[in-house]
Amino acid sequence: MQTLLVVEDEWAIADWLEVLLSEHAYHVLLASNGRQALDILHREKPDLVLTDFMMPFVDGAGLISAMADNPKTNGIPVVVMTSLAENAVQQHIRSYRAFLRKPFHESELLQILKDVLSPSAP
Amino acid sequence: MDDRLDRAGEAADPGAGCVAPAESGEPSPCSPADLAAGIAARDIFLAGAAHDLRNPMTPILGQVERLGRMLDAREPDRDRMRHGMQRLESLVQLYIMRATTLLDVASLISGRFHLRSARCNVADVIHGALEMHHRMAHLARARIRVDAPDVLTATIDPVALAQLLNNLLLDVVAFSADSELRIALNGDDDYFRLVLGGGCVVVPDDIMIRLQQRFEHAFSDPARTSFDAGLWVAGQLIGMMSGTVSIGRTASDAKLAVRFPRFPSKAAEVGSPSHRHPVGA
Repeated sequence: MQTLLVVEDEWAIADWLEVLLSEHAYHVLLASNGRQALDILHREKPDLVLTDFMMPFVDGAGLISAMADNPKTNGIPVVVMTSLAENAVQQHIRSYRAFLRKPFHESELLQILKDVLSPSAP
Repeated sequence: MDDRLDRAGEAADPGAGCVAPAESGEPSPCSPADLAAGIAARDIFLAGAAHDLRNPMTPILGQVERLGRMLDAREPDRDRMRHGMQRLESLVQLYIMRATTLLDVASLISGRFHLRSARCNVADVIHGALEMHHRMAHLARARIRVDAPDVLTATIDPVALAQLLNNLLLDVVAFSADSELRIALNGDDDYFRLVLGGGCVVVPDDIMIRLQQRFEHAFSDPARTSFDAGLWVAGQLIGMMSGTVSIGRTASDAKLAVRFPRFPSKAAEVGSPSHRHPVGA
């Protein structure tokens, strides 16, 4: 079973993602901000991080930057999900594997996860 | 009918004068620089509003798709579907609250937001407002401790009080992640006081700034509009209800206290608050 770390400060979105992804046989870890996500990343090695952009304490940009600076986490693919336009996010984030603009269809999310987690993904 | 939706109908005339302090109710004379700042703030606010409305649509869309899949099942599970419908309703209620806050910004700017005070139990209003934040607290691993009497009556607009609490708690709970948030209600003959405190309430400076700023200053940073509308509305409501805000802090603790007169004017009492509570509160 693949493990996903979902980082989202809106509980309604976090709840929905936890249910949806669990139903599709993913193991889901939840964090409500980038700081909590980094705590979890000290203990666990998820297969993918699905993160919001605007969050308290450490936002999506801070989380991705900290992950990139750490050899233990810099190989973990990151998918960014936000209601902002992608060009607004690109000004702040160094790199990410895929982008989802909220609101998105579950099929879009599931396809992106499948693509990014595929053994043939770059 | 939710009274907050009624109020949303009092939306501002977008061309109504300059961006003026809400408490004045009248447009103030503006310099070109003031006008430019007001227009810039309005643009930033609109961008933030779009973000605020797209974000909570995400689980609504997800829940609708989920219900659709349940319906397409060979033998739909009615209990699961009923539960799913209830969940959808609560998500829509959250969305309405968010949208109403944004509409209230327009009403407040134009001075068309009116309080409707009534004698009510403030403790009930607080417990009602808190209900919707427990799930967020759970996600953030924040522990909420409430110290409030069963009954503390006051003459106040219960809908506005619930709204300002919701707006404050949206920020404060998120910033109380991994720590304890203490909420206390107390009062004497003349005033009641609501205190939000905790070891990890790191937002007081930010909250104080947003609570007390004029519109054109509150919405000057495109990077953080999403919390600002709620805080700005809360600040305006506190002012309209003759409330005062204060901050206390030590090295390890911070407190945000809001104080209101308990019985400001009997003449202002109208209607029954039981018919006017916000959706979900």
